[in-house]
Amino acid sequence: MRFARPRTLAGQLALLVALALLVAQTVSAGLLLKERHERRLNTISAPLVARIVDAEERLNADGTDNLRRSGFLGRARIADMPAVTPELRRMTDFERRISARLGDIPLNVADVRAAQAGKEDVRAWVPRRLAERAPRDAEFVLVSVQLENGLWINLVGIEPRIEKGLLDQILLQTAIIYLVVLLSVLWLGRRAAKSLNHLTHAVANVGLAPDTSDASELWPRGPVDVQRLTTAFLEMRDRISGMLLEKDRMIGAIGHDLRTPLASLRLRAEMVEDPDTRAAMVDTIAEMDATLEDILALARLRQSAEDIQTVDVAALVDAVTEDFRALGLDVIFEPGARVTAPVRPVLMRRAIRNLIDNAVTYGGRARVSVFRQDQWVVVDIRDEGPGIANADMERVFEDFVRLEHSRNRQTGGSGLGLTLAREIIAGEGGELELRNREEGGLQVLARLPVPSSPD
Amino acid sequence: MTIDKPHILLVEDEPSIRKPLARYLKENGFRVTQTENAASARAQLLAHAIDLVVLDIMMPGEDGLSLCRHIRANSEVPVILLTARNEDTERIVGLEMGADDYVSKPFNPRELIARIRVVLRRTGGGAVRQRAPEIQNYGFGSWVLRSGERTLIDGDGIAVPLSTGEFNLLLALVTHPNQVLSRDHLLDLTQGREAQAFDRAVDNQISRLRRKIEADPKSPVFIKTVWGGGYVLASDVVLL
Repeated sequence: MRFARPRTLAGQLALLVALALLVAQTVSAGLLLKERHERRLNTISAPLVARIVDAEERLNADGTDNLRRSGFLGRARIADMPAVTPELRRMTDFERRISARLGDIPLNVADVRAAQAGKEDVRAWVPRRLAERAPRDAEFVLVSVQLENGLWINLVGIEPRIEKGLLDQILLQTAIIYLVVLLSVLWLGRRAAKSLNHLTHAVANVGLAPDTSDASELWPRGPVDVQRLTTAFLEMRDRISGMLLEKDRMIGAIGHDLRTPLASLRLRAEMVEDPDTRAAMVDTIAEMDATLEDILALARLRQSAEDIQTVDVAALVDAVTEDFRALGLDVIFEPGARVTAPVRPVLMRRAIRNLIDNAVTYGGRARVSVFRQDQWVVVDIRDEGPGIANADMERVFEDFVRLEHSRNRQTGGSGLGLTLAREIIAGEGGELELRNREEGGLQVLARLPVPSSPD
Repeated sequence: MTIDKPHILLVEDEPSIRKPLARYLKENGFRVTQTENAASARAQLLAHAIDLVVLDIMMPGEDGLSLCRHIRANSEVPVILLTARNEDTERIVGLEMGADDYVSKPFNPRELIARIRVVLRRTGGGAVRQRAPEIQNYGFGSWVLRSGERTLIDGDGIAVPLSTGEFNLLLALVTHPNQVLSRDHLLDLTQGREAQAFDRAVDNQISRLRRKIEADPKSPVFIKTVWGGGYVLASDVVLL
């Protein structure tokens, strides 16, 4: 099973900190437990060693004469066999500890054995009254030390109870640390992420609709790193809009300057004697004028002074199709319910006109309808032309102008009509979709957003 | 006006337009005086009996709008502006300054000639000056017709765009409220700017308009049919 890795900044930070905390807590708990273990070994081994030494000294001094009948010498029991039998669990670290302590004294021994033992195992190796006094659930340590003369000193130590609370304590501590650290990390991450999200939104909208009434206006906030990023972005955005403005201004100026010679040409064309030549010139000039107008319209789009207002989109589309019909073109509007959307009516009229014009130019005729679909007003324009080759369909949105350009070369027109329509529709927050119809022809769907109303 | 050729004062700083335009106007039966700036235009206006001024808006020095205001303040000479296309504000300001009409560059010279003739007819012989009704808002009932945008606004403030034909017809009706207009008269009134775009039957346009503005198109309250006469806008119109 794959573990779903968190993808947000706050989530990843929290995960990283949690893992780091886990490692740190594990290491420190391990060290703590080891230290406790050492201390416990010392606590048990120190008195046992003292008793071994004592028993050995008494043996050396007196031989086995002082042994009581039972073999006890103090609390140690001398025997010719070890109390630690093979079936008991040996405690090798404890054996090493005792060997080391005996070596320090120094007391030479042949063998050291130690093992954990229950009450029954040790009964034979302690004086009876001691065995009776031991707590019922006590854990014992049996130690057998073989002297160089072959005798075994056997003794019993009580193993101190493991501090049960220790583990709970560590867990509780860990939980508290987790809570405090993770909450602050999450808070910090959220704060940074929030300011980053604002920034992301702003970055995504650079160069789109010049909507300055954006409620979530951007200002430097959040952690200082994000603030710096935001400031840098704001400066960049200003530079970009300056450049865009400059570009628009330049195109506008060029257009203006082209107008005068074009007007002059148009006037002189009237003076051409040959009517065919004159008509051809007038047509060419009109085409240049249309192209110029499209270029200027595109350049001015960003600075449109037109107000957005609630418009009956069905009536708008109906009016545009009526104008086409008045020119004798085959454009049919299929009436539907009244649908409204907030748009700039003059610009939107132009966008719809361009789309229908394309349909009529390439598809011969256009069938147009308007309907509401979820949060969109959709203008649906179908023609019966050849459509767009599927290979080109990708490029329509990659490189709109060039496709249009090549498409228009034989038929004339500026090639900017579709671009202009798309820009106008995008300017209202809408989108334009082109698709080939199964029954032939192209379908153009212009979607305009409708703000959700409370009713 | 005498039998003399009408005298046009052409004010245009750009010689590549001024010269062929002057020649074209002369060829079409006008007397033309050319000037290339506002100052000399003022002098020519004093020196000659000018019948009409064709005035370029964009000129170095004093621009056409300023000259237009000057002319209107001092005389009744009609003015036709040469504007750049799409410069709506320029055009609207020009009409507010008292210009009688405009053509956008690059213009069809035949269209300019037609405009000149219309304006001369309209303003000649002491006729009451009638401005191009480009920038008015007309209120009738709960509707407002915004002529600048060719759009009707309903009582809820929702814009109902009109086709060119519908707009021209409705404009003719609201500028002649409570007057019976015959079909021929309506055709005359609407054969204006986009004549070629309006060649459909008046009746068809009327029924389209009624569907848009009448609560019940079958028993209209605004656009009423006068039996044997034509149509009438049965409503007072308020200029807004």
